[in-house]
Amino acid sequence: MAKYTTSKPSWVPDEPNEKFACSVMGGIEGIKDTTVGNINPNLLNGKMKPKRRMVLSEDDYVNGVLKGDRMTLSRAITLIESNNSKHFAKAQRVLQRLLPHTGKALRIGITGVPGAGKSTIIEAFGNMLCDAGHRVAVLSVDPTSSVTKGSILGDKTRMGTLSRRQEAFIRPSPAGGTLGGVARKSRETMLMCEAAGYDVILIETVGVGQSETTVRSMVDFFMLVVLTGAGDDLQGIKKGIMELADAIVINKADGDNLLKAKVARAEYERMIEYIRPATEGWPTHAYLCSAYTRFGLPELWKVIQAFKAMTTESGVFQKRRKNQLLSWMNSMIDEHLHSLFFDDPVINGRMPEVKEAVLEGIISPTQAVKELVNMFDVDLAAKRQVDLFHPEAEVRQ
Amino acid sequence: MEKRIRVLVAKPGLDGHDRGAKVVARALRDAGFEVIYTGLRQTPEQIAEAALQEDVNVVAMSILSGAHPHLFPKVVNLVREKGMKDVLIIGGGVIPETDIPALKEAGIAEVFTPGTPTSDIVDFIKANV
Ligand code: B12
Ligand SMILES: Nc1nc2c(ncn2[C@@H]2O[C@H](COP(=O)(O)OP(=O)(O)OP(=O)(O)O)[C@@H](O)[C@H]2O)c(=O)[nH]1
Ligand SMILES: [Mg+2]
Repeated sequence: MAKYTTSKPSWVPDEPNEKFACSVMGGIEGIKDTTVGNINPNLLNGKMKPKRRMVLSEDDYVNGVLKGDRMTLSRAITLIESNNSKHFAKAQRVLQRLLPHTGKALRIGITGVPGAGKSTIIEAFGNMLCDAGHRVAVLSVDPTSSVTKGSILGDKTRMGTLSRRQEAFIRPSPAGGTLGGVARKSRETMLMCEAAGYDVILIETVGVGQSETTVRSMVDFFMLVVLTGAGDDLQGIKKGIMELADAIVINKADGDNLLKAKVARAEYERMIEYIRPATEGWPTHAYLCSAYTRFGLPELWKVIQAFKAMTTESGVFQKRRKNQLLSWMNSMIDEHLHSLFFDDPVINGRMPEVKEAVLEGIISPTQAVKELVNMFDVDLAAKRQVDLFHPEAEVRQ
Repeated sequence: MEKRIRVLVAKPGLDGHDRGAKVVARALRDAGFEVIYTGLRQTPEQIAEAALQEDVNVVAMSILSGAHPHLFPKVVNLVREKGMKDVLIIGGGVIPETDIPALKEAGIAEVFTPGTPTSDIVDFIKANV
């Protein structure tokens, strides 16, 4: 009989009794006799391994998402998130076909400092909307995550009940990586959710740095969650974000904190007066709420409804969406050209020398740019020449 | 390009021993996987839903309290019911050897008990996803 290797961790007594639970299992390599020990016979020699990952066709994705099948949606999002160029092409074809079914949802962005209660609000607000018959998709944009190393994602704990509901779909943000990064992936994920029939999209982002601008540029309504005690010291920092917000929501207005929250509200109202509203014709205000008691949340939904009605009436709603599309396209062009230039081997080769020359004062920055761009043009042209002799290279693209 | 592997590390039931789950989560992350950790005290339903919405390749559960014969199979069934036939499900924690065959029968691909080097877990996932 083959010897199955188990060993005891160092802290196990030399003669443990037979019921002692702890042991180290050997790997499954090299074990032939599955009647002993810890081997799942189904895993041996690769037979009956858990099924290989299902490969969905373009049609599978499109039909599944349109049917609102949650597993297909989930897999479609993974496809969008992939940095593999084959997946990229497929994802784009799927998206192209789903595009006519997008755009019907109300897109709401939620920002605020860490700990303001964004996730807890989403849990309470999302549940409230689901109760009212909506289907809610929750995404998040986290610019700090990177794909080079693995990452620990997810904040399911704060959304315990919402994550269980069939009317809700929660998918924290993908890591960035290449091919457009976080912004593109979040946008396209949002579109996928819309095609799957989710009619309210909630996007959480932490209010530090660049991400709130990214989210503002993809949502209709943007709210800033703040805490009580809006100290003078915070005013400067928040002003930038406040200019993006359609509503300022003072959370945790519960218990002993309610009074303080009311004071804060008055303070914020005063601050807002000096700020240009984020949306033409819509006066930004400060509101109270508590994610714990749900105080203020129904009113918040009414505010959002009023916002939609008003901006739709005035055409600002539609205009913003159109502008968002164009600026999205523009920023992708920027990004593409940027990487085309800076990844160019010729430019990379020359760059140190040119930098040196600029620093030494031998040439002006303007002159340097002119020369670099010129080199870049010549290089591109040369590549095109080569392609003429290898037409198949073109096809491979 | 390296294959992207997403793992849900989950703590079903009322068991509060989360050190092992966190150690495993970190080890998997350091091995380049994308890890979603559910946090403590999740119901099987919550875990299966999270697996679905996150589109993971692996569901990895940790129980040290002894509730594994009850909870592990429940999660397996829910995950399969929701259509994720191709998701690898593994478990770990304080699990008596005598319980392991039944767990495997129920669909747990492999069980890792105390003392397992985390590299074994990484290798197992790489070999089976
Ligand atoms: C530390 C500890 C605690 C700490 C927990 C701290 C924490 N936040 O985790 C505290 C003091 C809080 C605690 C409390 C209790 N404990 Co305690 N505790 C332990 C102890 C000594 C070590 C556990 C540990 O952290 N090990 C280190 C980690 C890294 O190892 P690990 O979890 O085993 O993980 C490894 C493998 O198992 C595997 N693995 C684990 N999970 C997973 C998951 C996956 C997916 C994979 C692939 C692998 C994997 O890989 C890891 C790396 O090798 C164990 C005894 C023991 N030596 O195992 C008892 C033990 C687990 N506790 C026990 C008990 C009874 C309790 C209490 C009920 C005591 C009481 N009456 O109050 C409470 C219950 C607490 C609760 N709320 O659930 C019993 C459980 C008995 C049983 N199962 O039949 C044990 C076995 C002690 C014993 N021999 O009696 N405990
Ligand atoms: N009293 C009270 N506490 C709350 C309320 N909402 C959230 N909290 C608590 O505030 C803490 C932070 O809540 P989160 O929802 O995680 O905050 P967040 O803004 O999502 O934080 P990050 O995701 O880290 O940016 C948690 O401990 C919550 O329990 C509320 O309405 N009232
Ligand atoms: Mg949060």
